[in-house]
Amino acid sequence: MSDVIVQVDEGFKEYSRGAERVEVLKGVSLKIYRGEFVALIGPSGSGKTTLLNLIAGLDQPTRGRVVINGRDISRMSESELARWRTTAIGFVFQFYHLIPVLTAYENVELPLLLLNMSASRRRKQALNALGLVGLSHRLTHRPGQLSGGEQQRVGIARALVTDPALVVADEPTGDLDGRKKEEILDLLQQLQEGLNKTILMVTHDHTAASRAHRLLRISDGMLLEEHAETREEALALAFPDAKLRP
Amino acid sequence: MIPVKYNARNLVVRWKTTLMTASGFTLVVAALVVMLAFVEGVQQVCTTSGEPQNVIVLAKGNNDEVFSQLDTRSGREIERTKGIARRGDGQMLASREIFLVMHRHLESANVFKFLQVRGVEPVAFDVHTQVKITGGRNFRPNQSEIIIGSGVQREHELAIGDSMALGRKQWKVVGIFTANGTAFESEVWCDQSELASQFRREGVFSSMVVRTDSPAQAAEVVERLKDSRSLVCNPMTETEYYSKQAAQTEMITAAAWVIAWFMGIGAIFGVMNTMFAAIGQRRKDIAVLRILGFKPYEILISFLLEAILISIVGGFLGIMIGMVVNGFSRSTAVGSREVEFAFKVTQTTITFAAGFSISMGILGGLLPALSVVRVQPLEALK
Repeated sequence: MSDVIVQVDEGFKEYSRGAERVEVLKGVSLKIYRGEFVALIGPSGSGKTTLLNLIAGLDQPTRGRVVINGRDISRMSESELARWRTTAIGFVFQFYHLIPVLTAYENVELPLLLLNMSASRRRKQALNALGLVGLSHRLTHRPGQLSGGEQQRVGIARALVTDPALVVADEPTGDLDGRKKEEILDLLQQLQEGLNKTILMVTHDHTAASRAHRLLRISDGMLLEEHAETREEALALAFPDAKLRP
Repeated sequence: MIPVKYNARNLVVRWKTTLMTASGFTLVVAALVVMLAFVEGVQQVCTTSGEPQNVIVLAKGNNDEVFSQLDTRSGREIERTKGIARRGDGQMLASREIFLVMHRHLESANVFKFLQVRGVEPVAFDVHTQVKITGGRNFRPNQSEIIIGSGVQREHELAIGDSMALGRKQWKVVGIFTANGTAFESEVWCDQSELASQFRREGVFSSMVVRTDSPAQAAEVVERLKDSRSLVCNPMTETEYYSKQAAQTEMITAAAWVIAWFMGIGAIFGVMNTMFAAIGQRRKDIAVLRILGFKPYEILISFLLEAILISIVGGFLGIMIGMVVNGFSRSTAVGSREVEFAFKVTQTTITFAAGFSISMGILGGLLPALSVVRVQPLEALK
């Protein structure tokens, strides 16, 4: 867990709101190491999702540098970023965002269609990813025929299928109830441990945040990590009303 | 590329919208196929009516037998032209013909219909080799007898033994003939001199058709007749003559396409509306595809393909409906005559109709598909 996979140097992000300029990120710098499970926490509007989007190559910083796996993505064109994302980043969304008319298998296979890969290899890889999330028996089911937890498993399989070094998850348990939430968190943890994936998760949820190795607290566009001595202290600061996991 | 099944399944999921949009294409394509089948049928009758080794000679300035009038002196001059073939018994294959167009009242439908009457000499059957008597017998000269083409038999509801009025006399139907589906099947044939006396055409005739041994010789005879100093006439190969008659259908073809395009504009707006709605409903799909790494143009092509799929479904149904008329017989006026023809749906018509349908799909789908490029993935997922 020594090499840096995510490095943000003095990341700024500004948006225009009419004539007004809104600074969402104010010089964020951070490092995430290979194999880490990091939770990005903070109040609504603090800039969590904006930072996640910069790291995932979905948006560009106004100033500063974003280096993923040794590659500076802050100056890439939209077209370069699109193809880079396919293999470098796995996305897990709060509302799964599966394609409703495609089966679980076809949804997982989708990113592989962008790679120069034989049909048999695609199939092998998609089946493998679905096997990892325990859905080998649900290949031909469409999202509408799956429970919320199962849909999120398909979403995770889709995120893993191209074997990306970094998985970004935006509120992955936000749409799930207690037991399903735990199952998805267990799964993310197993994948991080078993496959040595780096996971960056944005969450509002204490239970989800408590599974992370490290917490990055963000407030008003700035990282507050340095103010917390330990993970438990950071959790207590972020979720003062929550009971800590044993 | 985004798999086609993504588009196909979306079309199936909202099948009612798909069918309603496709039905616009169906109507346009069906109408186009029927109109082109009509033109094709008429053209086929006209173009096959002429035999390439026959030369038809009309009076100078005339392009239609109906208005042409040649005298017997001209007839003798034409017969002196080198290159006209002869029968085994030495008879020159030159047929003087009187061609008249008249109205006949069809009592069963209480309508007047065109009737073409051709007065011929016996040699006409050796010149127009397509004409074959298939029922009854040939007419006898000066006996007020006629033979009728199979088209006349159907359109005028006549049978062997029936009588019909031509001029002041009643003529008896004694035979039925076919002519390989050509315009001759829409004619009544009778003795030339008897017809001439009935309509005061003694000493004149409408056209002379001469037969040569080959199409090349026919062209040479045409040139000789044109170069003749003793004869003023308008010669042309029979093929050319009937092709000129068929040229009148070009107007119909142009009209068919104009109508199809006007109707097509409606179908284009239909698919445009459907695709804009589809894209509006699937903004999240588009966002996910973009995030996963699909480029905007790949998603654009996918949605364009969806519009094309609608046009293919609609076009296919339209072609199927249009093909119902294939072989259906009707008569129509071509120039000054009425010909019996069969609607003909050709491979070319099907290709044109399919191409037209797909073109409409592309035109209707392009603008909505271009709007895909403007979808902001992060905004769309909110």
